[in-house]
Amino acid sequence: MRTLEKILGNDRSHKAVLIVAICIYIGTLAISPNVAKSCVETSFKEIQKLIIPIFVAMFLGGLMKNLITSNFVSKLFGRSGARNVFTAGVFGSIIPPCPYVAYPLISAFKDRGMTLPGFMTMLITSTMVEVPQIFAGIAILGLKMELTRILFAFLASMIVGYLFLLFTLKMEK
Amino acid sequence: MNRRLSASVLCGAAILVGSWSVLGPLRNKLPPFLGDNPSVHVMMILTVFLYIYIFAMKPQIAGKGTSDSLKAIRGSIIYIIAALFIAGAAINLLPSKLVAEYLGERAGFIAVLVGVAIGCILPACPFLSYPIVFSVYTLGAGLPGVLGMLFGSGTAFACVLACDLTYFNSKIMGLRLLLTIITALTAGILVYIVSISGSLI
Repeated sequence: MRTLEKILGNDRSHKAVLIVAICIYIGTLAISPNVAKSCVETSFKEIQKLIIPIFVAMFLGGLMKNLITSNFVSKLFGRSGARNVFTAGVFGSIIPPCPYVAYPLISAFKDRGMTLPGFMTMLITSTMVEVPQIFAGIAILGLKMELTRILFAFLASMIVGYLFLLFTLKMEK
Repeated sequence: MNRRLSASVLCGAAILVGSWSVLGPLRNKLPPFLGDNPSVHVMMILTVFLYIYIFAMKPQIAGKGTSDSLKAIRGSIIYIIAALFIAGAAINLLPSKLVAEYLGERAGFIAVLVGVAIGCILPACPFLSYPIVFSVYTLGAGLPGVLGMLFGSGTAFACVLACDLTYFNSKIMGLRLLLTIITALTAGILVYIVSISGSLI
């Protein structure tokens, strides 16, 4: 039972993925067993192709998580004015993308008095840019698409972040 | 500090160039379980080198990195396999005509909207959502649609919303959701503009 708990974890949203997969296959099996068979065959091909790169990406992500610290990042960038939005964007981009890991860090910055635009930019980039996902992205999507994703996501985050900064400044006046 | 940084950059560049030059001739000759993307093979070599280097220099960090990775693998392996099964089912079940109609190059700006909308409800974890996005790409979706899915990926997924409420409050959750969707749409529009000019990938 404990082993099963360790494997399944406590995350209900992840369990939803498992339930959706089971439902799709039961439904397909009931309607068309041949299609279900080809779905299983395609899935095994996908697993064979992707599982090792995914494991390697997870190992690299695990190491990066321990190498890049928040101290290192805050030493690297300043924290004032409009630059705060950029700093927050960069920081949000490179922290671990999992909200369970990223949110306590972001919350710590908010508690230390980070401005609302900086805080929101950090939240946006942590959900959208997610540079640590680069390894997963390269493993599954390829280098070009992953770099395009990061580039445009960061660019759009900065645009929205600065617009939100202007909006809050206008509201303050 | 500068010397160390430049040495690290040079070493990184040497590993990348070296591995690419070694792997180049081996392209399409490697076993299928190693994947078919050369950048993935470079990443594998980089990971091995990095672990060896960190184990030699900072064994504690390497040990922590390894245990974190194993914990992450143990905690998500079943869901990764489930996601790959969903991807396999999507390839067989989704009619490519429908995908091309709503997410294809000809769908234009609609593809961005549909992509972001689908992405929002996908899992936040890239190891779970990316295989599903990639299966849609192989079915004939265009770049604006696929990148729209990636930009929106996980934005409104249950665990992110739960974290919003746990660490902050419903006001911040609403604001975050609104700004993230605006950002995803902005990024999608930028990709669409660049792609219609024909200079993307």
